[in-house]
Amino acid sequence: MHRIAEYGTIFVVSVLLQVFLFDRLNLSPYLYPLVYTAFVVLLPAGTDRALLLVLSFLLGASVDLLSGTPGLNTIAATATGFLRPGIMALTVGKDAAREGIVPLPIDTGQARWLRYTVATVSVHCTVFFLFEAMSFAYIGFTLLRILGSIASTTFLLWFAASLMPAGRTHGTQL
Amino acid sequence: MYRLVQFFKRYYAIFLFVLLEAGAVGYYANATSYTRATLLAASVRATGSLQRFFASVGDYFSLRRENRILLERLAAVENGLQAAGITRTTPDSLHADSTAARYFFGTARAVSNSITRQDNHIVIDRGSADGVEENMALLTPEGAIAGYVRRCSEHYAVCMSVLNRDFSIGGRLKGSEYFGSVYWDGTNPHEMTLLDIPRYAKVERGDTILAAYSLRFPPDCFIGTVSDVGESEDGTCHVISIRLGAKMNALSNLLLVRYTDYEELETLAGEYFTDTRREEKR
Repeated sequence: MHRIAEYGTIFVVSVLLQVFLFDRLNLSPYLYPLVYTAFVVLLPAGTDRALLLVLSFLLGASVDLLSGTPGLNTIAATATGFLRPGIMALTVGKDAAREGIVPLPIDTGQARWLRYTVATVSVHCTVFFLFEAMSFAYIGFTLLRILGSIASTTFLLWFAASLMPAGRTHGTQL
Repeated sequence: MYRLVQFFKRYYAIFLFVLLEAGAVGYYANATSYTRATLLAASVRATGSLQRFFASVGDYFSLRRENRILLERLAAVENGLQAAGITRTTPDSLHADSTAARYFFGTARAVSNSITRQDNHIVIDRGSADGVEENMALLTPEGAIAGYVRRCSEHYAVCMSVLNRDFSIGGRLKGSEYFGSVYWDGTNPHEMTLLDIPRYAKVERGDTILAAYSLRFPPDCFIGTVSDVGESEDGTCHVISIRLGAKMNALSNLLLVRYTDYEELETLAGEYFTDTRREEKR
């Protein structure tokens, strides 16, 4: 119950931050952080795949509904949710999934966490910006947007993850 | 049967993914700019007061600049009225009663604006209750084009920004009769592109580009100035980069313009105007 309330808060806060803060910053076309991916990144390892998919879908749909982008965030978030177990197994290790750790730098180690987060965020940003462009006419521009977004999102997620309390390593199934 | 159940148990995540992703892709692929504006209008209806709060926080930092622009604009209008021998009596209203005037001006404030996406929209704090209608033009206080109204609810309106790949308008060089098509390619939020101006037309950096043969915007509305001149692939036309006159990353107070004959002309000859002949590109 405690865990559900905690992740419910992360869900709501990440969506609101995206829609009311980061969507409004208008820093540059090359710096468009997609911070709501924090929810997918921080879900405990070993979360049921169907639940992970449904939650990712709902996350994207919530951002779409509030920001008037019909389906774009949903497409990216669902793809990220689908690939996350594989990415986690490859970057953090299969044992992590079995132990059900919460993917935080303090629990996985900074290097492994960074690998895992960059890979997850890369999937999300690549799908998002390719679908947004719907064309390869300005592929160089799109690639720069993807790289800028991966860097800014990863930095913000690292900052957010470092603020979360430690000591939540084992047996944390959602 | 048992093997079938085992098969589904093993691959249920893939089936679920395909189902959810196909639904999202299908919805996105079929969404038009009108769908986006409708979705945004529904969202603004629910979160309008929150958006207004964030906009007011942003406004605080640009008050000085806005006030200076508004005063300069006011002075220019007063001078124009004096020159035309007209006495100003009516307050700001979109319901102004005049048979001679064809364009009515009102004010609005941007409560939400994006420039970093490929299809940007502006949300303003005026809706149908304030006399706002679809297809009204949106100008900056300096008179530069910023967008037009796409959808409106009772108290808010969603406008298509000039920084939207579905936006297009005719543009001409000031002091010349050559005109072409102005559009945004989705990359630089400070520039648009003007095509179809023949190579033999003289174009230089700094030349002014005005709206041409537009149904939504008043004649000769300022679009921007020429920042670069290239040539088309076939070598017959200029490809002109326009530095936008509207500072799209600092929109706050805006002017709304209603053209009284819009409906009549749109029905009769909408396809012959540069900004209404092509509603959807995708």
